[in-house]
Amino acid sequence: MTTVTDSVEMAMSGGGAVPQASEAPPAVATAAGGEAFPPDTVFRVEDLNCYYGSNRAVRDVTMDISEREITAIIGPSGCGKTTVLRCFNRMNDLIEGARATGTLLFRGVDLYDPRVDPVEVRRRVGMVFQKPNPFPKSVFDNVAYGPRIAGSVPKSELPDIVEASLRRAALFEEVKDRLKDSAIGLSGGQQQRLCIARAIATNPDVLLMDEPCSALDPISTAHIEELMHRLKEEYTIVIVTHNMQQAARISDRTAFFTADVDAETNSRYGLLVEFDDTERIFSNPSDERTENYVTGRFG
Amino acid sequence: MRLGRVFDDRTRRAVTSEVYRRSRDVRGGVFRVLLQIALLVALLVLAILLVDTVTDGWSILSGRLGDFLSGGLRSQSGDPELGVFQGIRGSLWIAVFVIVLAFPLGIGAAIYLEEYAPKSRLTSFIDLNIRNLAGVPSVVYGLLGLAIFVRGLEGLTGGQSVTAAGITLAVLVLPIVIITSSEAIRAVPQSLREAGYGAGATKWEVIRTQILPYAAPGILTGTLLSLSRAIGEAAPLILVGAVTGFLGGQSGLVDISQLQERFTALPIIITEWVQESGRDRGFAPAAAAAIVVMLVVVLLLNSAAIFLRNHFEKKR
Amino acid sequence: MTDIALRFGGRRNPPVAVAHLREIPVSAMVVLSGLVLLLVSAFLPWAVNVGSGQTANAFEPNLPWLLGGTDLAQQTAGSFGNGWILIAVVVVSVAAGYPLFCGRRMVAVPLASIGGAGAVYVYFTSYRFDNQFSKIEGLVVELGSGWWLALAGSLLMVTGGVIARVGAGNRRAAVATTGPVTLEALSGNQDRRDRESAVRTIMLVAALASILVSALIVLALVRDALTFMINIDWASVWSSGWFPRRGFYDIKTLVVSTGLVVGVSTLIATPVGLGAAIYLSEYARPRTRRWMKPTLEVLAGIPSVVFGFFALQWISPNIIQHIDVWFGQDARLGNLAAAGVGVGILSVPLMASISEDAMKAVPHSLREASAGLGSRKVTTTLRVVLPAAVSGLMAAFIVTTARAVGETMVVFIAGGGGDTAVYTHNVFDGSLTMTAAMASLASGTDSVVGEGLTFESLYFVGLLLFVLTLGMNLVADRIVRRFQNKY
Repeated sequence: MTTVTDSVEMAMSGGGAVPQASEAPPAVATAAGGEAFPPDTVFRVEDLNCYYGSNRAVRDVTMDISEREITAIIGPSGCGKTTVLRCFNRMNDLIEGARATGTLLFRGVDLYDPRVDPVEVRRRVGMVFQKPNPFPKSVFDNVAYGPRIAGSVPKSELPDIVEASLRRAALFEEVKDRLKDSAIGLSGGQQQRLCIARAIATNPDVLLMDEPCSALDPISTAHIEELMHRLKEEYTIVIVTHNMQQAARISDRTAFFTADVDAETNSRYGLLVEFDDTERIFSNPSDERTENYVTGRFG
Repeated sequence: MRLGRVFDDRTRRAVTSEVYRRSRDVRGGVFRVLLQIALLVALLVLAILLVDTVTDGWSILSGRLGDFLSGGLRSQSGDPELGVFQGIRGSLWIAVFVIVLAFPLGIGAAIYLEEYAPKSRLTSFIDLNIRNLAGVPSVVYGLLGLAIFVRGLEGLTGGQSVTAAGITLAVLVLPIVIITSSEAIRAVPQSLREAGYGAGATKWEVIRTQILPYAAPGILTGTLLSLSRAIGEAAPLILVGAVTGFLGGQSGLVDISQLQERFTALPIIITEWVQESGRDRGFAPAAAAAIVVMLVVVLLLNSAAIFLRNHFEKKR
Repeated sequence: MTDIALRFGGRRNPPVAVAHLREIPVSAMVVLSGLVLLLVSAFLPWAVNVGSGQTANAFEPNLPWLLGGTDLAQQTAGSFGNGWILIAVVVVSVAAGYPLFCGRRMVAVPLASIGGAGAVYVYFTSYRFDNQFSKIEGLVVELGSGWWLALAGSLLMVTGGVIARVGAGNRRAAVATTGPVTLEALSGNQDRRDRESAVRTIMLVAALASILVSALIVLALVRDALTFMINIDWASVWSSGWFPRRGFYDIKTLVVSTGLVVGVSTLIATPVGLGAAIYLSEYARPRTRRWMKPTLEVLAGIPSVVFGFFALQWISPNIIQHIDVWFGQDARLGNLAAAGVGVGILSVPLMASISEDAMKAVPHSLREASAGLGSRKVTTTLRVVLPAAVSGLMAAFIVTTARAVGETMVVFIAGGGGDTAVYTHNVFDGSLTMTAAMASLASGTDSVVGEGLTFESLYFVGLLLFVLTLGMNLVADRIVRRFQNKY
């Protein structure tokens, strides 16, 4: 695998129209320790710390996220679930004063390398938000947004991409007659599926979902969960959820976060308690705090 | 009834009158009437002003509107060629300068302040600066224009020209454009920005494809208001050297060569004629008619702006 | 899956020449293209006339418009008669800019060509054939004298440069989205980042323009005001009247009449404005508000000259000249009281809108708490809402006052002052306020002339006015910020 990546890398840097600056990056970034990055691992997180200003909001998170699996992040409010999720596509960069330390490797590449362009990361790591947030444009324009701004697709192919994305998001049949209508007119569940279609239209590697069902009714939630099961075959999914049953239903692996109070500064921070197969987390957790949480004794 | 058994009639009557005492609340009534009077005074003044102006200018507006619109500055009010053409032309050029200079600069500055600027000292300084600039009296902008654009950059502007006046007024409305545009951009929901960034858009792409279209009605409202403000502004023009007496040259409405020449504008003509009316009563109706001409433009711009804002406010 | 992946994979390489062009930093292109055009238009006439050996006055070697205009500029001014076409050219060029910006060359190029052809047409037809220059000289002279053409040209070129650079980001096929994740792939697209920084720079420059304006204001005011203050005989600043052309600059005359006008205007604007605000915020039904607020906004949009006319032609004869007898006065048509009333009416919408905002900022829960305790609406309004909004109301009062101090046209038209003013503290007299004094100094004559420091006195008064209003606005701003933090 390493050699393949290597040669592609060289071909690209050699054949590119614009030669990179002289301080070209080493061809392949490797995980700490020098061993090759495991091909079925998408993200490797080691000792990740997230700061808001001087406040260390999330501490020492270490976890691996595997390819074509659904990883759920659960925990009480204020434990930094969303903060960690937003590190994976560097959405936290948009918040002033937010920064992260530690290692966060995306297929072997350090996401926080200064040479990395967060915009490029976000194209490969799509995101679906808590509240459905379609653009106030037509259904078509919503889905076509990503490919359009990326400028990588000829205009004539946009309809195909839009259709394929909508089909994948299990929305096409419902909206095929009103692709030109405003997306604001869709129902909440449809809007959220539209947002998923919008996210997969740029053909990302990973989908991040930040409590995607919290604003939806049970039926729409079931739709989305079903959809996630299918999407798992093509994408790696990381989902933050409040809803433990949801995590148990859909995820392969689960990370349990909790909040603690720093004795010195008296500030709250989040930390990863346990990260394991979902079944184990919910049936036989190794940490007492996890057990308390999943059995409903806390939070 | 149960209540009847517990309370006697007297108590019930007392309670009823307490509850329905509104009719006896004299203090409240007087207060309310006072407030209504205040509002009425404001509206009444507006009505008198409009009616008085139109009546004063009616003889001209109904009699020789066409000649009035195409005529020029004259020293006698009885002159059949007396009119406001040169004023319209000057005001038109000023509007062009405001649109070309103040709008792009102001909207650009607003975008920077709302979307790009970090929370730094420079940003808060720029911010404070803009808010204070909006409060500087317009006549002081006239001094700025006189010192910098008329005298300092005479070679560029041609001295007391419509160019100098246009730049001065563009500078005058710049803070208004910035403030109103900033407000419109601030009203764009954060979720829209996040959706854009999440789909892999760069900052500028988010601004161009999401923020500006959403904020457009608000920005347009602000720019229309500032345009009408610039058209009605007279004090800076007096300092920059608008012509109040005779102005030669009857070139067309849009002729580039005027840019470096002496000029006049609608509000200046009005000022001049109002002042002249002490000497020659015939100028009073001319001034009123000129006011009507100016008000038509200004109020049209304003109503368009107000309508736009209310329309889109209701929609969201 | 693969179908989309393959489509995304298509990567088009731009021609090598274009790729190299994009290596030039945007800033360098902007500066260079601007400079080149500026210099060319400034020096070409001179170069041509040295080359052709002309010695006539008309061809005196100098830096034409860069350093202050030439005879040539005067001669050729007015030769440009194709305004409409030029405007059309500008419109078409701007219209061409947007599709170019979005990377749609097929739309942009034809539009830009039309614009370019129009520009060339205007350029040639604008040449005056009846003068003595040869055609090429005439063109060159025109280029030199038409500063605006040079300016427009450099602007177009700069925008063109930026657009070419910025638009390039769009035209270039992005790196395949589904390619392997490598550091190079994740470092994204250089053009796109260049465009980002170019746009950011443009916006920053726009924001800095406001600082430039303030700096220019202060600079302009202070320079001439200092000249005045250094050279003035201070006895003349505290004499018995304002006779600027005779060397008497009595500031107290101006300040006192300003105070009188502001006083009268406050008497009108505060109760009426505040009352309207309370009614709109606390009493009016939504339906009433819906037409009343726009009406007040119409009042706010009326230019101040109109209030000047109204104060002189209606308020003064119909109100002031009737009530003056109550005070044993006999007012002339133009007087400070009429001006004050005019300024007051003009300030009502401002007072009303800021006060209403302040009262709207009072949380609804406070009103409900008061009503829940059995208070009537008057009590709630007077005892709860107004005290809670008091700092905002203070700010409204200060801002309105500052506006009244700076109001020029109403006082200039209706204040009854001529070019000069004698000291008075009687509102029924005519006099000059600070602003009116400035306006009357500047009007009527081609330029401000008179005794040595007449011109500078304009700036002295202006500086005084600026400092006064700036101080008031700063205080109001402080108050507003504090009350914003309260809730």
